[in-house]
Amino acid sequence: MSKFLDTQFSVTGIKNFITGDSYTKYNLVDFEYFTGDAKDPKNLSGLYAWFNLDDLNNLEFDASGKIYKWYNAAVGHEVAQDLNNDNSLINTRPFYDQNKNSVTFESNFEKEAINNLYTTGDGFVGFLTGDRCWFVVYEFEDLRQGNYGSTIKPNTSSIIDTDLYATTYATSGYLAVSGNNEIYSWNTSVPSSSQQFIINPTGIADNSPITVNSAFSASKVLKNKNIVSIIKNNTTNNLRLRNNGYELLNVTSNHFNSGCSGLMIGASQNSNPSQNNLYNYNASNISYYEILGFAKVPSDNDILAIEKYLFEKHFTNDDGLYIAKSNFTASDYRYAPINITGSQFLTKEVDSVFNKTYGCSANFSTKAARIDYGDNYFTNVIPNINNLNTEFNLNYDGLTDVQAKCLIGFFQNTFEYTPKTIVDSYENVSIDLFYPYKNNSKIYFSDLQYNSVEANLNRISIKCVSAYDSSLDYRGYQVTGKEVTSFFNENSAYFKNDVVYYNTNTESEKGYYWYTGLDNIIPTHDQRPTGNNSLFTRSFYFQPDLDFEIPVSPKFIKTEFDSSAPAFENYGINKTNLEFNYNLTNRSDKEAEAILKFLDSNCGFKIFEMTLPTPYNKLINVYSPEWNHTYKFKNNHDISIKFIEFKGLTQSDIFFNTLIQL
Amino acid sequence: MTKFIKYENLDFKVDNNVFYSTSVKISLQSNIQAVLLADGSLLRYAPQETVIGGLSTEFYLTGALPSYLNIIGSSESSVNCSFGGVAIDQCYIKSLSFTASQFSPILLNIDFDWYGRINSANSTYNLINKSIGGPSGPTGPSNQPLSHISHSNNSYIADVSNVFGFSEVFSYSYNESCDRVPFFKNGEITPFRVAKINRAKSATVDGNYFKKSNVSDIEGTDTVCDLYLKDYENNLLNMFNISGKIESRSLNIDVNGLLQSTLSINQRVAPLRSTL
Repeated sequence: MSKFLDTQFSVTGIKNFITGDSYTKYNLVDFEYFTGDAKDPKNLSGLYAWFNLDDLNNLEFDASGKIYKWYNAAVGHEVAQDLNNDNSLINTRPFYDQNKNSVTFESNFEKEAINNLYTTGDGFVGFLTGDRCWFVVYEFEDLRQGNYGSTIKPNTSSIIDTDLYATTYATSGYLAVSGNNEIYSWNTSVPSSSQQFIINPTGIADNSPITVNSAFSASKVLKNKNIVSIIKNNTTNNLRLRNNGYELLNVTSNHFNSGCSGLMIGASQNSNPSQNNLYNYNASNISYYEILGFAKVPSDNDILAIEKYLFEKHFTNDDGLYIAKSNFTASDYRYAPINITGSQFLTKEVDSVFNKTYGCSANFSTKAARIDYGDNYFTNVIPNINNLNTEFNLNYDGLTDVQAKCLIGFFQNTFEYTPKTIVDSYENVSIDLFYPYKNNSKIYFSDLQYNSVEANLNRISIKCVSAYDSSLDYRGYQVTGKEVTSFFNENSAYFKNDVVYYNTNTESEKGYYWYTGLDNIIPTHDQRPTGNNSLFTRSFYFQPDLDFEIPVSPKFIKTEFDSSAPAFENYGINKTNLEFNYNLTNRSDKEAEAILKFLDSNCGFKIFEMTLPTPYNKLINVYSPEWNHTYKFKNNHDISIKFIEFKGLTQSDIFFNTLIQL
Repeated sequence: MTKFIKYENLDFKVDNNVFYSTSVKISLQSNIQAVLLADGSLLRYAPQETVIGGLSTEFYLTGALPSYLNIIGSSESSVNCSFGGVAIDQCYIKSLSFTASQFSPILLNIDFDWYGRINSANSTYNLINKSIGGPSGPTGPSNQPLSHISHSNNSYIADVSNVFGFSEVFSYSYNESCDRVPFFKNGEITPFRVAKINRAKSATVDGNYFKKSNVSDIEGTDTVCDLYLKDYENNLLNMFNISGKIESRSLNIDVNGLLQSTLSINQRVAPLRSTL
């Protein structure tokens, strides 16, 4: 096993990823990028180019924050062997992406922008008279289609161009990815809607490209990082191309020959303008994490060691445990989960393998600190912008023994994730929640409850938390669907329990409103959220179940005496502060979403009005510090809410709206 | 005046195999609950679970018992049933039973739970068409002679553990059953799995007066029986086995003055996890 001790898991049978081995659905497969040790580039001779982001001082920024120089960290290099962009036009320079720790190059048709960096002068001519190799860690933002018609070739998106003097177009030392060929299929062996690597996009080569394993589609890995390795033996003219550990190409070719002694990275131009004038600006944005160049052909072990160095450095959490989605045999390294073929069989996306079942629940509680002032006056102090504790119970019922074992192993593996940066929490679990909660929360598993129901029938409940949702998001914490965050539209017809966001210049009237009128009504001016006869409300109008309880417990002072009966004295004003729970069971999807949106938008501390049901019938101010919700069945939800009466309301307590419009 | 309509040539098919059914019943059961609000009003009727269908039929077995009618086996997969112009894709077998007595044909009863939609299907078929294949092929059975249907003439129950205590068996019945539990993905009403739980077998044997001295020692008494289901011409259609405990005995005299004892046997089928 790569990084796991046997004691870290409570289940057995975790398999290592080994080419040639077979796997069955629900196998837990431990993937390691080859099994040897990584090698620091400094410990391999011939290093002439090393562009890394270990230190931000490796970059030079212009006044606009764009990068005009990326220093070569290889020892003994010359000034001309840094990557530069002397063009002061802003649209030509890349930027530093601090979230990814990458240098990101844009290709933007609207702005007619192409970003690139390149060596100047003689480049690496002094070093590169013979063999050479490049290792590049890159990531395309996406691969734009480039469907310009059946006679116009799709885009090529550059990865690396090493032609020394080719700063305007690529020639023989060039590697790119061809655009999506949905319409113009210039290589019939490449499936439609997929891409392939290309080495020479010029002239007739476009129509008869060098075979770079044309069955290999890069389309699904483009949003992931890739390590591409180009190894050129200048004596035998052997050229090898590897991507993420799989050797795509091993041919005799003049490409990347001795003339290719420079380096240009970014959305560099290619040379088919006669067919496609959009070719440059509509390629894909690309990010670089690290680039290494060696003046040699390393041994196979050294190639693996350098690739592993890059993998361990840049592919955080891409190793470790995967789930087999179906039966397969890993006949070669294409089946590694970081490659497109392997990603079809091995996954960390638990939602693609397991079904969450009815019975999922959510619990919310405020972190507000209550300060009591006497006379039943109090205030809630909100400690931070992440005010709500949100805990979810994800229900996985009807699991077979094999599935249960797999899910338990997956659960335990999430605690092995590592942080992407030194200041982060370890990486969250990529998982969706359930209706009506948003699916982009950062979820961390905390507990797992396993129940054996019968032989081969199991139930697992996973408790998890969402820790980083903020009340600064005007859409809300967890209930942020389009149905409950749309702006009020005076021309729309509304149905009961519709939720709208009403935007107005009057700050106190701005916010979410709930429609309480009849179905399919277009509100008149008077009936709009702030109208005199509004059909909308910001009060809690949802009725509890018929069997509700509202206890009344007035405060009084009782003084006990050792030798006589107690004395009872009045407790100031506001003797009675109601504290009660509502149960709203068997509610429809729509009503449940409206209720949960109401609670979510009040964040556990905001004060709102509600009219108590008969026999109380009184309008009071309350807040809801905690509530829970269970998704019982399709179109059936149970919600339980705690309310605490609030007295001494001031307007400033109510409204906290932060709507950021771009 | 009442007019009764008799439909002819309506096949009951399971996975395209035609069965000699004498009756078929399809039913639906919803589970809804009225939701009353604090002001006394009725909010709605809320679904508590999906609509569960029931399908039961009686039929004469004319060949080997199909594997999809194995109640206690590990397979949980569904079968397709069609009858009377409707087809249901997701039928899950939950019980099979039959009674053998007095030189009579043996009718097998099977029950299914089903989920999803009812589709229309052409299930009419001319059973007297001699050109059709069979006996259980996709085109249905040939016109089977009556001697090829399950019959008590040669069917019998073997008291392997010798606990019955009576010398003559008047009749016997056998039942295999399990509960089917559906599991739904959030937001869906068609199950992704319908598990089998509580697998059980039971048998009831009617015989003459028991002649054993220890007939009252029924608690914990092991019982092993083999049941051979055959057609009229002594062709074995299926062998059932029950290996359980005696649950009850009784002795009664009916209105005809016949002295009769009854023995019932239960077996909780407990498959090892490693075998599933």
